[in-house]
Amino acid sequence: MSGSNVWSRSRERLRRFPELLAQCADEAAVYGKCVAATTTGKRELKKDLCATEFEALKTCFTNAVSYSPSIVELIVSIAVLPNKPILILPKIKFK
Amino acid sequence: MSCRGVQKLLQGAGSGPAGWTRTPAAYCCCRFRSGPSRARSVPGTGSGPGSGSGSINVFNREMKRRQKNWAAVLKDGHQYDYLREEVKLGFGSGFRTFPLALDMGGGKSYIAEHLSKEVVQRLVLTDVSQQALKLGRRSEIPTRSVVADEEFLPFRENSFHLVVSSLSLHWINDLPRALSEQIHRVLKPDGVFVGAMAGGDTLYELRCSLQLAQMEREGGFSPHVSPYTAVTDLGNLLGRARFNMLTVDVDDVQVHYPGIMELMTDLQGMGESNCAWNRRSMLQRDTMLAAAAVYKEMYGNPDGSVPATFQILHMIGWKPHESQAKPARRGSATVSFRDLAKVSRTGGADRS
Repeated sequence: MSGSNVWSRSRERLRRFPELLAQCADEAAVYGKCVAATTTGKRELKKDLCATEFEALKTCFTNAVSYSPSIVELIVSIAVLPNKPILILPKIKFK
Repeated sequence: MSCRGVQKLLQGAGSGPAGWTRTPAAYCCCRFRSGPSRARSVPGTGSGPGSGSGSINVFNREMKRRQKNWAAVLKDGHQYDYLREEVKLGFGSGFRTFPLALDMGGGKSYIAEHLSKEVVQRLVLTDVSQQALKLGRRSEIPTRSVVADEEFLPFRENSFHLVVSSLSLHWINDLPRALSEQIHRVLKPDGVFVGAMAGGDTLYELRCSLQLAQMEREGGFSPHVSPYTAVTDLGNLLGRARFNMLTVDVDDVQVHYPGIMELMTDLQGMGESNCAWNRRSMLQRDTMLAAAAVYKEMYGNPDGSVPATFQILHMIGWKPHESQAKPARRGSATVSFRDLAKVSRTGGADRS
């Protein structure tokens, strides 16, 4: 497999994960504390125990993604469409 | 995508009671009652195709070969080699000379760098991955490379004076059998096996974070980190494989990463991706996000990085030979333990 394919594209998207998460450090810390509290306290970890905290984290993360399209993404998308009219559209990831 | 620093904490040796099991994925530092869980790994059940009656089949060796081939031909693949370079197998000077040595699972040959021609005269390097052997580093020792699986060594018995293995034993399916039927067989009498494998608490932070995050997000968890041999089982393992004069040591290597994604990328680049039969091929994006948050919160350092522990178990075992010291026959003692107290008292009197 060479050239741009679904694996290389998804790997490129994943590479942006750390910088996007860094923008949501506070929400991530709140969610992490909620989950970590179950390891020491009496409460057992169940599905969606920290759902509200996670929703806040996910909203922050999705906003970080849509407000900062990667320049690399645009260049790659232009490069793989040689015969089509070049449209520069910010792609929204991690919906 | 690279580690910040390496800290080593040397701990004491351990060897212990009977039985060998790999600690399953449920082993975790945190306390919680497991809810509905999916695909919990149980050591000893062969869930993949081709599992014979009673044979342990935990890892997909074909997948491991493909992963190692992929990792070997990566551009800049050498940036992931820090862990293998860190594991030195302690061949100081003053060791005897081994005419013929075998490096099992040696990959790009990291051990030979620390050996000299005085210690090893000829080296045979085996690995499941052909690409790794092709791209291996050259050393001054004349080396022959053989593509071979560690569980099916294509060598005659009693051929090698020394067998070494660095960070590849944790992918072997049936470790007791590999130790006794493969390594013990190819060693000459009075030959020595020196090994280092990842075991025990390796990557427990990653295991726990993924487990907690998946439990909270999906209501159950599946194993993402392969099961490891515990330190306490290692002595028993080697003893059952009929090795003498055992030495077991634990070396904790902590590597700091910016976050969970860099850790996982590095593990993939090392060729250490999961290849257990019971792995799920997908990790949901929500779970990834949750795991990153949990990892940072539970284990993060003040400067924002996260640690990952690699617990390297070092072991040395000798194939039995008449020249080796044996335990004395029962009843052949010539002094009593009661005389021990007299020895220290007379010694003190002499000194003062």
